[in-house]
Amino acid sequence: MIRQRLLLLLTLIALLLAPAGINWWLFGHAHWLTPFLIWALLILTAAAIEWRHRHHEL
Amino acid sequence: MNFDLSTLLLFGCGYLLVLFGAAWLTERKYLPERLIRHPIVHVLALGVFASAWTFYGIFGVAYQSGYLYLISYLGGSAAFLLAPVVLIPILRITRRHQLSSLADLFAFRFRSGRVGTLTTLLMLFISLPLLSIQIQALAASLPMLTPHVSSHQAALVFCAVIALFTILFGARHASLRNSHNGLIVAIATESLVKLVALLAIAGYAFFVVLDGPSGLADWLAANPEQLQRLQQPPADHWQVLLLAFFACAIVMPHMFHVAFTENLPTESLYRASWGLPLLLLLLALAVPPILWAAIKSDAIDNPEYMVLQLGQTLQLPWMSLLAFIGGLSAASGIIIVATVALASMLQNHVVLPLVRVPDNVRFYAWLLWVRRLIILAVLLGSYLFFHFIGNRFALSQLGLLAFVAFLQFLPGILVTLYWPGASRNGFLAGVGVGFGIWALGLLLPMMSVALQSEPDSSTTALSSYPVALISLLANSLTLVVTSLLFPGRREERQAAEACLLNALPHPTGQGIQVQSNADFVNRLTPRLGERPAQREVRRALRELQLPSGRLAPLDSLRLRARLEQNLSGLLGPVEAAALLQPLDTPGNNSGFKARNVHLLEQQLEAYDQRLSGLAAELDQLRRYHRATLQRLPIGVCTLDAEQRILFWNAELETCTELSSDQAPGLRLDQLPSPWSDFLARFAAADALHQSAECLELNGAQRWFSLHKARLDDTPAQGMVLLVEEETQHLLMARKLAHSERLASIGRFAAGVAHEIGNPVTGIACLAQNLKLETEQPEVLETGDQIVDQTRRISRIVQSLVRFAHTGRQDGPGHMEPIRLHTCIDEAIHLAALDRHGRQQHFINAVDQTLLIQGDLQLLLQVFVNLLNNASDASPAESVIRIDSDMNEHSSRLMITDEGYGIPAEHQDHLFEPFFTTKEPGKGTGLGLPLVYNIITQHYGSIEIVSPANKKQNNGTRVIITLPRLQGSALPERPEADGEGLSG
Repeated sequence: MIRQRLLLLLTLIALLLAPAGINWWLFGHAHWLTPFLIWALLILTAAAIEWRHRHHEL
Repeated sequence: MNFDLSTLLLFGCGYLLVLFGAAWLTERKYLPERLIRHPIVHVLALGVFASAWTFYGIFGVAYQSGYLYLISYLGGSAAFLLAPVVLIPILRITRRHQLSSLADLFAFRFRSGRVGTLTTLLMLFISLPLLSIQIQALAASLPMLTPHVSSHQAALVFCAVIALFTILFGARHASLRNSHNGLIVAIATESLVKLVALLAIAGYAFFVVLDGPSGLADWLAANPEQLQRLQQPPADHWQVLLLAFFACAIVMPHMFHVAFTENLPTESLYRASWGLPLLLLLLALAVPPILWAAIKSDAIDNPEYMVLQLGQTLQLPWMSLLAFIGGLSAASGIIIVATVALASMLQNHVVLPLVRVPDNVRFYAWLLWVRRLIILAVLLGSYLFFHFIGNRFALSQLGLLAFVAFLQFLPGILVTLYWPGASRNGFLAGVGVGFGIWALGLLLPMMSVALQSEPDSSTTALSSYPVALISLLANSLTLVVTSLLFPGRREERQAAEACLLNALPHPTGQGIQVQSNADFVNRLTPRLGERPAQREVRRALRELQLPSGRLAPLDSLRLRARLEQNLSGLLGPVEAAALLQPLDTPGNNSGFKARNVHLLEQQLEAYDQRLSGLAAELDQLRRYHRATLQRLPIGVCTLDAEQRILFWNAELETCTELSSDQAPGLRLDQLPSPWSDFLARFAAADALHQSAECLELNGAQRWFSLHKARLDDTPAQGMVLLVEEETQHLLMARKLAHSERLASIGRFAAGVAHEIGNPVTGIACLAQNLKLETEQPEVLETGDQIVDQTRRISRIVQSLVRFAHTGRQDGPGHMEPIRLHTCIDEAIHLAALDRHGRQQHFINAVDQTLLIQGDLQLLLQVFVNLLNNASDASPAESVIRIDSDMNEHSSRLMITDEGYGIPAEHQDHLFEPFFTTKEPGKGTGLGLPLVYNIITQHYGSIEIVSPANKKQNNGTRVIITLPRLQGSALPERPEADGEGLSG
């Protein structure tokens, strides 16, 4: 449970205390597809974690 | 470009018919179960998150605020990417406690009906703008395609059709936790339609209107302000919107309903952790191409509906129709699910606490009709909101108003999962402050603007970010401070522990005053009616696999907990708890209770997969110790301080025929007889050990010894009892003592025989001499009689001596190959030498090739004894037959007579020394024991079957099995001399 609390806490910190990161993500003046690519990368990571969970823990 | 009304109606109604058809086919089970339960269907159903605001309104946001439009998608994605720490725990809580809505969750967590009612009313209030957006989207889009219909007419018809669908497929089960598979498949179809529609339009815009990647690059190079507009950061504090949409993905009634209430498999929610973000990514990716295509085509009269205007401007009827159908699907999906969810909340937290179920109504049908009426009322309210207020605002304004309001429930969700210290007062105060700031900062300004003739949308949008941030911070701070100042009561803390992430529900320690399931039925009947009450109790008994009738204390508690869970799905958690609470009795919460241990064990068993780290290792250790105790070949039972059973292992289950599910929780004196008296007496005594005591179990006598140890230094403060069965040991000891006694008799007999032998020989000599010294016939006759009697004494003495000698451990003296046929012939000859003559016919049918290894003299003794016995028991002229058979390793000899047989009561004593049924003086009782000893020394066995002829109920068959000697070579030997055989 402590691990999950930390994870959530870190996420909230990322959301609230690091708006600059999200600012860079969305308004970084890079290629217009950049926000979508970063987003896709996050999805891939989540899918890999879920796949690992399904095949190794269930 | 205008469409005929009939064309639009055809496509609109056709699409809705497809939805009805999908739901109907699912409910009728015409669609394969594998498809219905597939995670993709569930992920698509969760796509209800993308409402008409996402389909239409998002283009207005993208046009005005650039990439800020991504915030709604990213917030929802974040909630699902963090599913293992947010959504999965909520799913487990709602599933375990049968909670069907956010109001149920909060009411359960804070143990308050007021919390549930407040949450429900607030949820209804802030959902009205959200539902109004959907109605408005359709009402505004339809007149853009045809001038023959007004927006209000379109809205009214739309609401009527949606109401019909919702009632038909969203209110099919009385229990709110039952899955509506038809509804889920229909919503998944809607998500698929809106995704395909948006991607198709985006594809056309990208490849045709913008000329593909190179064309787009050229256009952006020629119009750099378009890319700059997209990447221009908005005003401060906009990041709080990310949290708002994060919260919306969890707390919005339609999202909560699909994710938690519809009983999706946990696996589906894990898949949705990346599946839904992927769906949202695809939807979001379609926005820039459509936006730029619309700008390039000058289709931006109303930016919120540019996806519709693009088709109109480009004169592409298929694109306009696709946009219309996509918008219709987005709008109808959310309205249907949100209405069902709101109806269940209103039923549980507003209607049922106020309205009593009328007598003489069918309870389940009554509940369904109440919910259907609520659905109609909610849809009517949504339409009225749209008619009088909603249509005066842009979609993004109404959406922002609702989303910031939903954000106020986020602190409640987080403390439910992560902070057991949060109290009801804290929650109420926090929500009150948060909504107060929301109302003052957003709602009231919007309402005042609504009264103006020309509403100004930009002011509201810009001020919403700081209001959202302030309201959230004030809400959270108030919740924490108030909870610290006014902590929750005991039951609130128990509910908080039950809701904690990965926490095991802690046993309450309360008692219950019921004896049987009829008490539960009686308790529920006034509220539910007799038949529904019986049905609910039967269902709970079936789920727990408990028998109907009288209940053990532990089973009563389990049944009560299950009933509360099931009724929670029917009436809501507060109503369910209140209904069963009168059955509870205050319990002593201190100590290590039997039922607590058992419940904890059960929960740990169910919790196996979810423990990790040290907890998982400790659980493994617990399981190992438990298995060790469980499988000990000695009965183990542990007791708490009140002498209630905590643990009951498998050996005790076997001995007592009381299962380990039934025993825990019982006191020793509640055990079945004779165990109750046996164990309770020992537990109450001071002695730590008790030697074997005889118990009569199922007509058999069994002996058990007892041991105990006090557990004063453990939480249980009780004792452990060991029950050891001694029956086998005692029987063995008795046999050993009997053998010892027989051996003593044998030794004594041998000594006596030796001592008697000499005087008897002297008497015989004297009697012979007497015959030589007289001619008197009386004296001669007396001499003969004396000689006869001394021979008889000698015979008995020799038998005793032989018996004593054959009982020795050193075995036969001279082992040699023996042909059994010859041996039997010799035995028959010797038996016939009896002075009285044998009048039976002996038939030797033994196989002439059969060889064994043995002592010929001893075996002749065996066969002569058996033949004499057979002859004594057989009538004259009868047949005594000796047969044989053999296999690879052994040979079998069967001596069968036609005599009167052996009574059954004597058969167990045949091989006991001195047991005889012959007249006194005719038998010594040593023949068969002698036979038995000799056969045993030859590594064989002997069995006596009587009657041999079951039809005529006569005869005896003696079956001797001896090891067979392999080989055929047998040296010729002289015939037996018959010495020492007839005595």
